[in-house]
Amino acid sequence: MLLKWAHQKGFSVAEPHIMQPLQMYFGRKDTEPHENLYKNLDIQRKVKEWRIVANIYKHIFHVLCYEADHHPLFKMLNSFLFDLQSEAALRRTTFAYEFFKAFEWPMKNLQAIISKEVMASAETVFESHDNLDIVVSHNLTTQQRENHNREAHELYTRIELAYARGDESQLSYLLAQFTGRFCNYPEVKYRDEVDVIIGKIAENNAEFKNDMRSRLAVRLYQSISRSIEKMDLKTAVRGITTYVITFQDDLGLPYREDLDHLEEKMYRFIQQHNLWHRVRLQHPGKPHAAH
Amino acid sequence: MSIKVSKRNSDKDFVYQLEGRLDTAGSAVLKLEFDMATANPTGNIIIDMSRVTFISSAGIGVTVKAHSVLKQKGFEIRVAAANDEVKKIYDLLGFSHVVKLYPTINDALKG
Repeated sequence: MLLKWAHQKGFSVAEPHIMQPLQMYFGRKDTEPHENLYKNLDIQRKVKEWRIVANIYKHIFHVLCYEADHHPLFKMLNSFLFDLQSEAALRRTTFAYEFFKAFEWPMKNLQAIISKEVMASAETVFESHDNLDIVVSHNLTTQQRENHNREAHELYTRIELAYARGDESQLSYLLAQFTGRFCNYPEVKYRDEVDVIIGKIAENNAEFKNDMRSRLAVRLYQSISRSIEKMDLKTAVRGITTYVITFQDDLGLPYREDLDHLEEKMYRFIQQHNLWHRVRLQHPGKPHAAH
Repeated sequence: MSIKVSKRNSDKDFVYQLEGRLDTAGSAVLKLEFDMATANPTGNIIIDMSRVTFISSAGIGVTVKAHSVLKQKGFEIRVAAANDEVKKIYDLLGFSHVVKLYPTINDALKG
């Protein structure tokens, strides 16, 4: 759950709803530079010092969400959360109780807060844009394609390792990260290999499948809403098409109704400015991960 | 309730008349109907969308899924009499090549 929220909206709601509650529990703001902090956290992690999570949060929520996946602090936080999932003794500590107690309210309300913010932001964008030239097309440059393929290779290697270890929680996270990251880029490598792995695991594991789908739905919603914020309507449309191909008639996913509202605003805007042909997909992407 | 669904037979086919919005809530109602209708189908399903005022990806997803289930059994979903905006949304998202759109119910019944 924390990971899903951590991937929303550039962490703009983190200060009042995450940072401040943490400061209540853990005192002063940490002003150490990131490099030193990373070393300290590494040391702290080895001795399982509890301040680690507070320190990570204080810094990580200032990192943009797409960058967060590659941020050492985010990776550390991620691994701590996996520790919490896998180590029962860790979950029974006073710290774990207080940690989740501090986050009880934001955990329950953050999705609603984010929904409201995304909607308000979309409204502002649609109302304020008269310059329709910024409805950009969606063609990758050679350099971008190479970067994507390199990134896809790195992720796929981690997926293979997690698969070999049988680490399902890590796999679920990585597979959703891969499919969410590259869902709009059918030309990126390793998509078929990833689909094969998803198919193998999901075949006899409904819980894994649901977890994966839920994470992927959040990723896709995030990608669509960010494209709309940037007025990149063509990419938003491509994301919605991917959403339909992937989830079809699954209506119980996170942010499903929020997506309705975003779509309605976007279609109204397209109608008002007669942009149907400009943002229309010429070659719909191939079906992907429709398990 | 964001959608009203009424059903009638036309020879072997079924005609579903929808009234309202095919958003997530409306699509959930339609999905229930289609889950039953596609289990043991005897003909095609014609969806009369003349009174549908809005369709989101949720509605498109439900029709695409029902279409793929019916296709395996030798039948199909046909969307009829949709307003201009609904048609444009199917087209925009690239699904007007998957689910066939017809200008009238009669056209859809003829196929």
